[in-house]
Amino acid sequence: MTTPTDEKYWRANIHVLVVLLSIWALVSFGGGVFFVDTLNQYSLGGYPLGIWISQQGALFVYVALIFFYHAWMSRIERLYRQDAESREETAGTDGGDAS
Amino acid sequence: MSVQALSFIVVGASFLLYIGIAIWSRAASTKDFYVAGGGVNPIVNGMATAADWMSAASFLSLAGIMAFAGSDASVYLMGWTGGYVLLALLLAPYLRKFGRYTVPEFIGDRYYSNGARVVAVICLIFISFTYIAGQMRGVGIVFSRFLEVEIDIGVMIGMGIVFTYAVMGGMKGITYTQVAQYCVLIFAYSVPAVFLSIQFTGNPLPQLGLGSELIDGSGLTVLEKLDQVTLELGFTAYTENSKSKIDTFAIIAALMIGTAGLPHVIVRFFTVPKVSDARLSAGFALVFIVLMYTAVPGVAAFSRLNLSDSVNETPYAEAPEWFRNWEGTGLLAWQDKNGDGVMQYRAGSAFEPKVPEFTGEQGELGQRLLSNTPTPNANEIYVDRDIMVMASPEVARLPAWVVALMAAGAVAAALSTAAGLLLVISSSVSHDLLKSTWMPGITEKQELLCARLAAASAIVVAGWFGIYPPAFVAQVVAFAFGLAAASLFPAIFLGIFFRRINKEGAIAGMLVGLILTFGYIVFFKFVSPELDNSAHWWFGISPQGIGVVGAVVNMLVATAVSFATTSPPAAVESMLDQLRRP
Repeated sequence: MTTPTDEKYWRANIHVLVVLLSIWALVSFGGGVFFVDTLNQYSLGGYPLGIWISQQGALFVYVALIFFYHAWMSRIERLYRQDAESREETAGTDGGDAS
Repeated sequence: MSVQALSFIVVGASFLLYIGIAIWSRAASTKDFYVAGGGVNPIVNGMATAADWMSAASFLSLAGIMAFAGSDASVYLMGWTGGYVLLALLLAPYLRKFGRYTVPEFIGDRYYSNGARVVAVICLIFISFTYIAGQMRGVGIVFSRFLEVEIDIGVMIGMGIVFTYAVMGGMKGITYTQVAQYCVLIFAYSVPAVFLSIQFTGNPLPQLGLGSELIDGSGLTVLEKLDQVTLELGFTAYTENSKSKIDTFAIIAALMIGTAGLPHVIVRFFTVPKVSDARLSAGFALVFIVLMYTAVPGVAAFSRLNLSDSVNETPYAEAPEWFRNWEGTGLLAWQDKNGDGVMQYRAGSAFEPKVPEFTGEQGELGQRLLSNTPTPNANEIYVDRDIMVMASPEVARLPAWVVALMAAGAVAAALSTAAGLLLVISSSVSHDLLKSTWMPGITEKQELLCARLAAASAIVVAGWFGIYPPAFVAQVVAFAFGLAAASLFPAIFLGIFFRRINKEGAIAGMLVGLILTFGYIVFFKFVSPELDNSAHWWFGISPQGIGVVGAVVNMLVATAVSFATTSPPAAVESMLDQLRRP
């Protein structure tokens, strides 16, 4: 059985995924594929910008995304674990069903 | 001391190190053998994952492909790293929470079916053997060039080393040797990259060097100069993309999804102690990978410039020493088509067939003569792209120990990947086929013995592929990623995120995805290679990118079939509840 805490946790988890994967898709397929030619009109440190994104920038973004994900999820998990524990305690003192 | 003697010492020392680690980390239980006891530090695991991932193809071929394909090769850089985002966000933490030993085990339990388990094992074995064949070949090439032993003997030495630590130590031995191998390979790759960057631009970081101005006084950046040189010689401009948008998109997506679905990478995340460690570990793995991958465009550009600079319009009599060394291996060749004794490097293949066939005689200048038919174009040079990285220390005139280090690095890259693949093959046989499906009664001791026997036989098969390489190795690499994308990834992803997907849906999806992708690649690569162009491709997607279509079709079929049949049983529901708890 799932508790309301579990369901809230799962929704928060999905929210994180949607946000981070949107950035991932935008950088990879927007910056790296579909808008490359437009971006190449600008330059960054001697690189045409589109090429820089597809050969270097996107890779750095991926690293950042994963570490950000780790930090964000750690926070969410701490929050909902506490929540789950306090619920169990309340349920225990009420003598109710702790499931 | 000669380069060869130094190479023997450096490669030999690295082998002693790997064997020492193997003795120190013998596996005592099946848990040790499959997941290194489940107690690997996330940073250590990240480093091991990076070595696991970076194969002979990454180490030897990637910069070479890029040097000749220019911007078109960006697909590999994004595809092979972006996949880690999918892995970290969509698969690794959940699979770690599930807490078992193998990928088919998750699929078999989640879909409550030994049929699904066996389909997953078949996909896994096919993907892994495709990959291993290339690794063993890489080991053989390095041995033949730097140590001047026969390729066959090189392959056997490589097999012997992997045998020692994979069979004895299982995942535990592999993990700690991979850490050592990562250190060897990243050092070996970076040293020549840094020196090349300094020689061309004065900037020690190849990541920045590529955008910097050349120090030859031309005032051009490296990329501008490359565009100029490539256009002059009749190639398409280095920074120009020749692939269509839709195909580029499909190839990147297929490589990313395929990367996330490769079993030898996924299984590394079973070895860390906690779920949050799986996320952290994926981050560190990518840091260690990106450290090398961001240097690749620089190495590619510098070696391409160097090739045209030092070869084009140079009389053969004055050819640099590395040119003759590599000519000796048959990976580089010159046919004096216009008889002027000067090497012309231009676009197009110099002769037919494309690969040189040596007559065994030498011309007056000492060049190896060819029996190939000359083509009408002006190009006289054949270059195998795999030599670009291995030749880079010699091209940059670096001391002999750097060349020796390069040999050790290439061997480390090939062996670490081969070992990881062998482990997933052996554990899928001993754990998923024997223990879970055919012989549930065996004890842990017997299972461990079976795992060791399976690893040993897999090494022999892999060595066989290395010594007698199937002629189609290069074409089948697309298979590994395409099949992982079309079969394993969707089954795991749907299994985690969608409760309603049942046994029937998952099996139907995997089979349809697999057959579609397999059929498409076989049709265009083997049945009718003459039709392999965008006019005949579906939606303009090449066989390399078809895996993404396979993945989408897999998911659609799995969903449709699941809704037409009964819901998964309550036991699976509670397993999924468990995965969704904070």
